[in-house]
Amino acid sequence: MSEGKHTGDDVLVSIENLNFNFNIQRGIVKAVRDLSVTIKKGETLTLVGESGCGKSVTAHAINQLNPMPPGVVESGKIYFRDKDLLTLPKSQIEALRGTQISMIFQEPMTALNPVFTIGSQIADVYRTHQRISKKEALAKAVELLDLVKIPSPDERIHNYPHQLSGGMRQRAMIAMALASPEPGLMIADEPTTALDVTIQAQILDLLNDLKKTVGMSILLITHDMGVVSEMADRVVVMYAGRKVEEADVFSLFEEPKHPYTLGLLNSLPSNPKYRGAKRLEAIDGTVPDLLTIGEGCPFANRCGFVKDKCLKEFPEETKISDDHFVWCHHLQQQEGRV
Amino acid sequence: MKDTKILEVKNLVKHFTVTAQGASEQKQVVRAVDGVSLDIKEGEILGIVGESGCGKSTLGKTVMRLHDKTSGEVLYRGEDLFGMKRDQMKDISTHMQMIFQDPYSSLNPRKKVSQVIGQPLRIHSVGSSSEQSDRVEALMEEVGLNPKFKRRYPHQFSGGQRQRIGIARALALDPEFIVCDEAVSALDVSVQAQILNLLLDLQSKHQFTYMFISHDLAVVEFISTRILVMYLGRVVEIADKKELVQKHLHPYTKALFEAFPTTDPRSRIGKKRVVMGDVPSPIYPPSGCHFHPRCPFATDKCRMEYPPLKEVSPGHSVACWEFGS
Repeated sequence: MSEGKHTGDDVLVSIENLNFNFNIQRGIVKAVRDLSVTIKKGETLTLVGESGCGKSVTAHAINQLNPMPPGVVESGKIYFRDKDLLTLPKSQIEALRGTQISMIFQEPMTALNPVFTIGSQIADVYRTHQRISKKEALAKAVELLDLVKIPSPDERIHNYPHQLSGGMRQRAMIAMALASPEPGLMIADEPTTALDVTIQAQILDLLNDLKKTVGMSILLITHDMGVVSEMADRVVVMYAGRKVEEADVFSLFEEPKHPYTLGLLNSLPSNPKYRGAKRLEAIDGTVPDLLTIGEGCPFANRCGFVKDKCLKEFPEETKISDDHFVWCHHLQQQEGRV
Repeated sequence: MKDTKILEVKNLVKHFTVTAQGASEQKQVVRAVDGVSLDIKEGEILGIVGESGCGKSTLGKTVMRLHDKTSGEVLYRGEDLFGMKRDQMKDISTHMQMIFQDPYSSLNPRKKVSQVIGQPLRIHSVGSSSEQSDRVEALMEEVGLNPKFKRRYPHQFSGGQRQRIGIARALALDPEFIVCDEAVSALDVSVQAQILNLLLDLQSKHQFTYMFISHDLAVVEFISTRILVMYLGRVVEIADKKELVQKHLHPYTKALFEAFPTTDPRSRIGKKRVVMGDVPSPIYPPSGCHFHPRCPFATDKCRMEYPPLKEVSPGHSVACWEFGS
């Protein structure tokens, strides 16, 4: 992607050429490689991929929640509202977390403190960053619980996390993430993976509503293509630490280009083409080991279009349209011929 | 498909007694399975779908006699499973096997793969030890594992390969009926597709009968020939797959289909969902129809009386007052 694209008034976060490794006893795990992603103001960007593709590491690199060590930023920059987060002192990062960058996790039971009421936990977020009284903070907590549609919020603030159902806990988590005078970015890491499907639908609807009313950007991390299709404005498909395709949500589902994206969509039993079918078009093989992965395309060992070149070097970007980019030697050749 | 019933479940009830935490130490009853009746015919794949706490896994385990029943009957080819003596049960267990969700906790980490897969053969003394070893290799090949890895331990395999080990173990005694309890739920989608294909290939090769339990509507819809929907310990709807997908009637089944995310981003535009609220606790299920607090069509009758399961067309039954229960 060309220089200069990552700056501009509508860009909130810009990750540039990030390389993130984990140095462990057995060697170096190249968790994220040469990744560039921008998140625009007010949009939902989804990082999608399977276990170990680097989607969570990327998100945690923004608010710096990766364990360091063993984690190491090899190179790259992460801009948030023109500040390079990777060069900021720890105190400033902490000031950003919870005010402009907030996070909701997969399992709200482990993310909430079991010995404090949810009201006091939400009030704490306010009181950490603003000089207001406890009473005022609690009143704001009630407003937030109401905003995330928890019934009778003035009673619920006195509840402990275990007294709430899974869906209610996730709502409380979301309320806490909104406890800020200027919410900018919400990082949602598999926010509905632990929830039942009827509850998931409610939480996704809530996040979509809030995005509009609060005017924040959402970085959504998920393995579930269904959640992507319900939520995303733009999608980045990751595989074994690399970005392999980036597109607006409609192009991605209607004209997927990368063989991995195609394989992922074909692996879904909910894909309409399998009505009455007896077999899925599965991707053979398994994800390569990130300890021993080479310089080539990480998908090469499972790809039906693999050539010698794919094993040696990672492809350059191929532009399909203004909103659609793919990194694949096979497509590069095809597009080149046109 | 033949019409012989391989399994009949009659009004099966499984309650667990738990001691409540806190000062009172009161005993409470979890009504995990609360009066379920169903038949499974030879060669069919009965999908059982529902959300957490609906009792689908307890049903699967009770059918396998891994739990004792509270009341009701389970008949395997006409014989009462819970009336069997130990020897009879051991015989019948060669016909019935189970594949579990978590390929990490369902395999003994201290045993080599050859021992894990060969264990059922040793327990039932099938063949000499060299025959058993040959059988293990054949089984590994059948499920897509390289037999040369048979001396490895489970942790040396990926999640998908571990699930293949669990499947090979279930196949060891040539069963005819297999309960798959969330067998693909812990796997990444691309691996999940491989395992679904494997289960279908094995089924058409050996004419297995599956009871396929999953929370994932898409997976159940893909693999099953008939689908049963559970809510809080009871059956709310059962029908052939095609009928259930196209003409589901119960408001809960509708809610499940509505809530399930599609892979068409355009379908989200203007989408409205009606069902709100949480699944109630199976310790204190709501009065009347268990679904009434979340149901947009609930009437006074629904709040008072539980609707019986009633056949609305051949093979399609619904438990809802709206549909003539």
